[in-house]
Amino acid sequence: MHLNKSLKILIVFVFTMGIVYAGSKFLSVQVQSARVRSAPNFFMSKVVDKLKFGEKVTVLRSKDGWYKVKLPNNKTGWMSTSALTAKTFKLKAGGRDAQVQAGNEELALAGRGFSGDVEKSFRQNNQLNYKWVDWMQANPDYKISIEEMKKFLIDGEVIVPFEKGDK
Amino acid sequence: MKNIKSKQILKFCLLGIIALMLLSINVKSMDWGNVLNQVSKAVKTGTKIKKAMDVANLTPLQEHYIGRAVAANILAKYKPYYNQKADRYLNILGQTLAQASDRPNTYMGYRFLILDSDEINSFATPGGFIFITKGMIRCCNSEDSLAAVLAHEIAHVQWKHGLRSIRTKRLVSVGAVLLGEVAVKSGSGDFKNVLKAFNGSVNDISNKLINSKYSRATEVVADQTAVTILTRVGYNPQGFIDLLKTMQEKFRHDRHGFYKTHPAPKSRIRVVKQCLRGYTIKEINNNNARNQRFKANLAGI
Ligand SMILES: [Zn+2]
Repeated sequence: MHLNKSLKILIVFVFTMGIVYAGSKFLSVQVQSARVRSAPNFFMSKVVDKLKFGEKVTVLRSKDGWYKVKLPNNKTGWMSTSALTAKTFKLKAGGRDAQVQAGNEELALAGRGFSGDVEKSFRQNNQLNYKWVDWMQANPDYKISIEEMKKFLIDGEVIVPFEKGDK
Repeated sequence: MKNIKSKQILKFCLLGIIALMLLSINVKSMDWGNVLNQVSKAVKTGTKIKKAMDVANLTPLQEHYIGRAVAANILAKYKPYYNQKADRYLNILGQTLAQASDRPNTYMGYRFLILDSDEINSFATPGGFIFITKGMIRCCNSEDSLAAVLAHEIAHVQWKHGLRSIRTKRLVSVGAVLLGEVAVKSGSGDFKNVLKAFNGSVNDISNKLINSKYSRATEVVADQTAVTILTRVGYNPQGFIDLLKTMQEKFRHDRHGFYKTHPAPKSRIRVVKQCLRGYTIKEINNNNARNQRFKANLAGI
């Protein structure tokens, strides 16, 4: 009974070690496109590079939701933790752990759960309005650059209206 | 004898785990709160931590496909209101707020669209398709109030509240496929099970957003996170309180949308004020630059 429990904990222990080890070296971009910034702050930084889905980075350190990373081209910068994952994307089930070519997310997900294939079948059986969803996604008006965002905040005089402890 | 030995193993393992936890904080500091939350939740409910399939493990790309389907569902029930000027304004404001959230990156980024409905309502699907009705826009008297509506919806996306309303049992049987451990062939029996799980998940979320509601605790978290986002960017949280007061007034005659799906404005005002204790809040200036553009861009709505 007790030994059984210890064994379980041992398994968790080994598993945790695996995650920590994997997480401390390389991370992959898990979104379509991710910005790399000069500082761990949206307002006080410049975009130094952009990475595509599947590209790998080396983590140097972390700070409040940001990772300092080294890019494949040896540049360094800061990325939001929400853009990265410890997962590696495999090409084929049971195949070798070949890295997916950057930007090739459909291939990475083929057959692995909720993918374009599933959506295709789903659309045949349901009365839905995908036309506008595609439009929202593709509309160039919706692609807002960081420069436009900053200008928007400055033009709108969006300044901190109070200070902490300012009673 | 056997007992002592196993106790020693246990001790060793626990020490090891604690050491590793400390080590990993450096690398995974962001996920940590979430992990602790899950552990404490598991302890509270007496369930085991080994949970095979947590919706939070879905990749952003899978979340994106669910979000697209839920959005397609919403757009089959609510007509979009397209106005290029208003739309672009809404997207600059919303995407700027999203950048300041703790989840600036969803798979494709955040997108905002106005719905042609008088109902006071707004929705956020997984992955960041966010909708706001004309009725809700009319509850806003300033850009600061509109920012509060959008920040609240961004918070739901950040915390994956939509995904978390999927019934776990739907995903368990296809867990290995969703986690990417095995692949299925299009058209096979396993594929049909994945399709069924997808269908069920989309229904769960759509029902939650349109007909039912999140728990009160979930809405409190969304409001608290909204205040964080607003103050981080520099919006005046008084706009949030003004918005809730207007909603409260309108709910006397209009009992659709947020009246049914969200806690009463009165209790939400309490939550917002609690977050702002120790701060001095200024009144909204209706004639400053951002409120002039607010009126100009949303004229006619
Ligand atoms: Zn809500």
